[in-house]
Parts: sequence; C-alpha cells; structure tokens
Amino acid sequence: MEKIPVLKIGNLLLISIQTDIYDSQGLQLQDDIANLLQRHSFRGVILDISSLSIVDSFMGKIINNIASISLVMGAETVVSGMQPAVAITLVELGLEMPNVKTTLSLEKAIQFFNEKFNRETDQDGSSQE
Amino acid sequence: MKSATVDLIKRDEQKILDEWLNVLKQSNIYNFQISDEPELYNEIKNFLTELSDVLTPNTFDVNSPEFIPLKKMVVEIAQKNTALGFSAKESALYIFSLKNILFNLLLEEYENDALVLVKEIKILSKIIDELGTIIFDTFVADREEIIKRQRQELLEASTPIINIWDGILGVPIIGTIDSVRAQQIMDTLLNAINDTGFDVAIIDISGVSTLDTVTAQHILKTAAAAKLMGATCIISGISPNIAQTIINLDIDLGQTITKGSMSEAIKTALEIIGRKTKKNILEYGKNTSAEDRKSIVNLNTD
Amino acid sequence: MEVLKSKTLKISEEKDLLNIRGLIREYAGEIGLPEIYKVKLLTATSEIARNVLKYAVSGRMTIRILSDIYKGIEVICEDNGKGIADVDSAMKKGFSTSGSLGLGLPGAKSLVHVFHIDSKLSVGTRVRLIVWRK
Ligand SMILES: Nc1ncnc2c1ncn2[C@@H]1O[C@H](COP(=O)(O)OP(=O)(O)O)[C@@H](O)[C@H]1O
Ligand SMILES: [Mg+2]
Repeated sequence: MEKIPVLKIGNLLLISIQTDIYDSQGLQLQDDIANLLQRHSFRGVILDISSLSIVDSFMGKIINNIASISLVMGAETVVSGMQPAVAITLVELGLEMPNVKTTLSLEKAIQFFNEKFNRETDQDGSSQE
Repeated sequence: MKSATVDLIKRDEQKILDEWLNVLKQSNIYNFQISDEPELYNEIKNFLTELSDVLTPNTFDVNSPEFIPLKKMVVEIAQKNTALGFSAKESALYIFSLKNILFNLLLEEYENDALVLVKEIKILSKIIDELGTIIFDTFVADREEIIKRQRQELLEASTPIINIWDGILGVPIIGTIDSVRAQQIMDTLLNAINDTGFDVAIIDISGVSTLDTVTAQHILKTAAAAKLMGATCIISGISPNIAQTIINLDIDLGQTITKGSMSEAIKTALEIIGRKTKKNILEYGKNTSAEDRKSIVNLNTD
Repeated sequence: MEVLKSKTLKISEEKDLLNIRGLIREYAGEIGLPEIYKVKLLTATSEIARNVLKYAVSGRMTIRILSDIYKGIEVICEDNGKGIADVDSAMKKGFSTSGSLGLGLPGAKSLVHVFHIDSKLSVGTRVRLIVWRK
C-alpha cells in the first residue's frame, strides 16, 4: 500500500492528506512521524486535511496520537483546513482534539510556526542581552 | 362513448375552437392581448386534437395509459398558468369552459335521444372533471414547492453573515430559534468561515428573547466546530437574563469566549487577529447593505 | 415506502470500507443529499463497518435509496460475529472492549436520523441507519 508522503521543510514536517485513506496507511503515517521526530529535531508537524472529506473516530484518534507523540518529542501539531462538515461531524461524534492547534489553511499553519519561531528567537536574543 | 360523439368532435373542431377561444378571451382571467392569440389558439388546438385522438368508443377512463400525454399537457398548461399568477380556479376554468361548449354540441346532436344524450354527457363530464382536478393538483403541488422554497429563503435571509472587519465575521441572531434554524445558522456560519478564511466569528445573541438548552447546545457546538476548523467564536450579547438561564440550566460553556456586549466582543476579536482598534471601524452592521449580506449568504449555501 | 436502488457489499477487508464509501457518495449524489448529511452518513457508516472488521471479522452491508415523503439513504450492516454482550453499555460514549475511543456506536447514532441496533451473543450484530433528505 502506498505511503502517505511526509515532506520535510526546515524544522517542520508537512503532511497533506489528499483522499480517503486506508486505516493501515493512517497507522503507518503515525509510525513514520514518530520515527522522524525521534531521529531529527523537528519543531512542528502540519497535517493539512483540506481535501479530506471524512474524519471518523479512527482517523480522529490517529490525529490525536500524532499530536501527543509530537508533544512528547517537543514538537507542536497543527491541523489545517478542516472542512465545515467534517468539523460538525466530529463535534457530534464527541471527538475532542485537546492537544491540536488548528488553522483555517495551510498558509496560516506555516505562518503560525513562522511567528512562533520568530518570537522564540526574539526572546532568546533579549534574554542574552 | 359512442363513436358518433368522437366523430362529432372531430367534425366540429373548428367551431369548438373558435367558441373556446372566444370564451377564454372574454373571461377576464386572461389579460388578453391580440399578440397572445395565436399561441393560445395553438395550445387549445393541440389539446382538443389530443383529446379527440384519445377518445374512442371504449376509452373513458382517465387513468388508462392512453391519457398520459393529455394529462401531461394539462399539467404543463397548469404550470404555465401558475407561473403567470393565475389562481387555481382561473386555471381550472380553462378546461371547464370547454365542457359547456361540448355539451351544447351534444345537445344539438342528440336532441331526439335523451338516453344517449345523458350517457354521453356523463362520460364526457367525468373525463373533463378529472382533467380539471389535475389542474388543481398541479396548482397545489406548485404552491407547496414555492412555499418550501420561500421558507428556505427566509431561513437563509434570517442568518445574515456580516463582514464586521477584515478577518471578523458577525452573525446576529434575532428572535426565537428552533432546532432547524439553529442548524441552519451553524452551517451558514461555518461555511462562511471556510469561504472567507476569516479567523474570528462573533455570534451575537442579544436579540434572542429566551435561550433554551437545545439552542444553547447548538451555539456551543458551532463554536466547537469553528475551533476545529481553526477559527474562534465569540458569543456576545449575553444579557443578565440569559446569563441566569445558563447558570440555571447548568450549561457547560467549556472554553467558549463570551462577552456582554458587541463592542467588547469586537475588541477581543481584534486582539485575536492582532490589530489595534481603529477609529474607522465599521459600526456594527450599519454599513453592510442588504445586497452585501445577501451575497454573503448566497455564497455560503449549498 | 419505496426502494429505488439497493446494493449489497461485503465487508471483509479494509478495501471494502472505501468501496462502501464510494457507493454511498454515488447514492447521495443521486438524491442530492446536502454535503453535511452526506459526511455524517459516511462517518456513521465508517464506524459500524469498521466495527465489523474489528469485532466480527466479516459481514455485509446493504445500501439502499428510499423514497417516502422524503428521499433517503438506508444502510443495513449485518455480521455473524460474536455479538455484543451488553448493547446498552456499548451504546455509551467511551465504552470499548478494545481500548479504543468507544465513540463509534453512540457517535453513529447521533449522526443519523434513524438508528437501530440488534445483537445476539454468538449469533451476530445488525445495525440499521437512515439519513433523510429533509
Ligand atoms: N459488530 C460488532 N460485533 C461485536 N461487537 C461489537 C460490534 N460493534 C461494536 N461492538 C462492541 O461494542 C463496543 C463499542 O463499539 P464502538 O462504540 O464502536 O467503540 P470502539 O470500537 O471504539 O470500541 C466495542 O468495543 C465492541 O465491544
Ligand atoms: Mg468502533
């Protein structure tokens, strides 16, 4: 089965899920991300799900797992572009995503990390002065 | 039906048509213009031809398949008339006026045979009456469709999404909301967020007279869904009365941001999108024309 | 009530979940089911089909287009697996015998207009869902 590609951009991992995926692909993705985070020091994971038309409790759990793993490894997870119907469905399902930061689009996710990293460098700079 | 009757209708076609056209022209239901005449004439001619074709000595049941084209024709006429704004009665007159003309014809023809006359009138009358009910049915169905559509339009219009500021949407909720409307508001707002990419949405409930648990739940679900999408919902206009209700009903607001007034909500919204309050901020809803609101609403409906 | 279309698909491997979703999308398109209801139905169906794979190994799913006062889509999912010991508990949020989220059955119920579940230990489980195009 085809792997979901994970792009490495600077200190970010970017995953764009394009279509309905198999459960095993989801589990594989979770492993891949865990491995990458362990081997390198990525600071953030962006999961763009703007093309994903359904997220059921299984997929929701995978997203939550990825977020929890990232957190332990010192990275933050951002889920971008969740469709309105998917969001309503998740709320009805009762699935919460406490460790996940969300943004309306992939651009905003990247912007979020840029601002976060800039803030951190600024703070580092001022504390050294 | 006797074949003589069918022959009679065919033989006197021209006469029937002339009389029928005349009756229709004179009845004030048609705001008749000379230019309409050829069209109307064609229509009734087609109808009469179809009718005389379908009538044979052994057909008199409108429910038999041979009648389908004729019935279709009646439905089309009825729909056209409804679209022109005719009442059901006016539309039905179209068919019923033919009845009189045909009866007069039969009266003359079977002058000396009362038994046949009664029989033939009975059959013809049954057929025309049934065609007349199709007119009524079509009319009612069309009206229902219109009412349904208008209700939908009303629902949409009653959830105007307002562009408060670049990055901030607002939706004032007015009156009582039932579950259907709450669902509608939820969908419209979330789609608006998706389409505009605006980060903050203010749901103003100062116009809501009473807040029940179901409605409160819908609003909170909207806020939760917006958060999953990456936007923030602020609920504003919580009157002391509604605050009391929230406490009494033990509604869990979770992480939802609530503000007493719209202006406080806008301040918070601006902080969220990282801008300082500016003097020229649009006054709430004031500069949003009905046109704008409509276009935003239309943009976001399936 | 009339059945306008009906098709039965097997559930025995992951791939079947995608086929089922495909058929529901097709039927949803045919009756013009609004996006939100379509996504809810797809999600509910995913949940119960996955349960078959997970707890009963295999089963089948019948998907039908219904025509009543409204049109709608009905999903009937049947398996001859081990059944559910306590349906009332299984319907509670958070209840799971496999350590997963326990949101599948209660979630599916809140996503559709009609939800029925029948289950008998060592006989099997039958779940029926309907979403109407109101
Ligand atoms: N088709 C089935 N056959 C047997 N047991 C089932 C079936 N579907 C659900 N169950 C039981 O019901 C429980 C709850 O199911 P669900 O709400 O989907 O949560 P989850 O799958 O996360 O455990 C499952 O843990 C399982 O014990
Ligand atoms: Mg499950």
